[in-house]
Amino acid sequence: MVSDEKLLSQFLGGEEEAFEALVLRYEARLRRLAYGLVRDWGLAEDVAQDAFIRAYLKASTFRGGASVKAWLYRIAINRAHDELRRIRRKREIPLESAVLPERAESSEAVVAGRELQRHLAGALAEMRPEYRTPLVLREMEGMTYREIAELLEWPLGTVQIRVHRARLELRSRLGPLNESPRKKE
Amino acid sequence: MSCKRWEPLYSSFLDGEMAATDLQAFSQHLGSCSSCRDAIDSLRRLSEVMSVSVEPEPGFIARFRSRRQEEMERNGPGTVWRWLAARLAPLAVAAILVAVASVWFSEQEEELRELEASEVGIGLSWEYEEIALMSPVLSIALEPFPPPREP
Repeated sequence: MVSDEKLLSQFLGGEEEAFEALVLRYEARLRRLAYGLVRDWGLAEDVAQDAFIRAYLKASTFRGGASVKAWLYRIAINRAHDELRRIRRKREIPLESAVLPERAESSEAVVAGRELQRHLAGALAEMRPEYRTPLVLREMEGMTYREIAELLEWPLGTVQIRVHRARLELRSRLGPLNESPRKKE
Repeated sequence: MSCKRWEPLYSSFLDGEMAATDLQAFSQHLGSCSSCRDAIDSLRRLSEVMSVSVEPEPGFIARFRSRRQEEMERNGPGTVWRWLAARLAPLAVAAILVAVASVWFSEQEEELRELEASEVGIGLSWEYEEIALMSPVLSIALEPFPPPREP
């Protein structure tokens, strides 16, 4: 498989389709990352699209200090934060409106799961970005603490502490909704 | 051991980054502490709730192409020129460097040719005398050393 760096350099050399190969490689991951941050699939799509457009236009400024993946992730994270700020200013924040596909099933477990997702969206939206971002990178992207530290340019210890505090905060915000069935009984 | 001691380490346990000695002690503690067990269960459940699988979307690339097109058109030719300038800048710098290097090398080559010609003998002796006449310091320097004085 051609490396990301090679694709970017081919694009800078004039091969338009090399950038499209990068888009195809990362679109699902960037949408998922954006969804983790904005908790709305429509918005996540816009954020991912904007991130790719920005990367496309600014490709020549890529300096190679980090990986292309980290560069794309960083652009997407910044775009997601811009979007959240914009929404907050307009007071439109969809605190409990995680856009989940409506399904016909209505079993108790499905309803409870959907309820939990809605509250999760609200809790994440209220969380400070410096907690939410490393938590999303850890839980949704499965990145290691070291990878997160490199991506966000934070010390390793800061990442560990923030991921941990974010988890505890989320747990306390969700309260009984997230209790294990064993405990509920 | 108290749960306050273990609480800061919940995440490193969940992420498989706990030190081996702590891991052994915490595993033993979990066997007898329902509070820590519940906490770990609920944090694990959070991880499951947060994880989302996303499949590639076939229409994404088509939308990317049309947005790219829109972006170019919306910002007019300025954007196209800026885009072109950004992409051509490294090439322009490389071209300038090549031009400077080629001028420098041709000058060096010329000097080398002159030096080769002077080594034949004619040019060098002429230049040597001319310089000696023009520069008093050099003329003195070129004079033979006086004989050593008798003690």
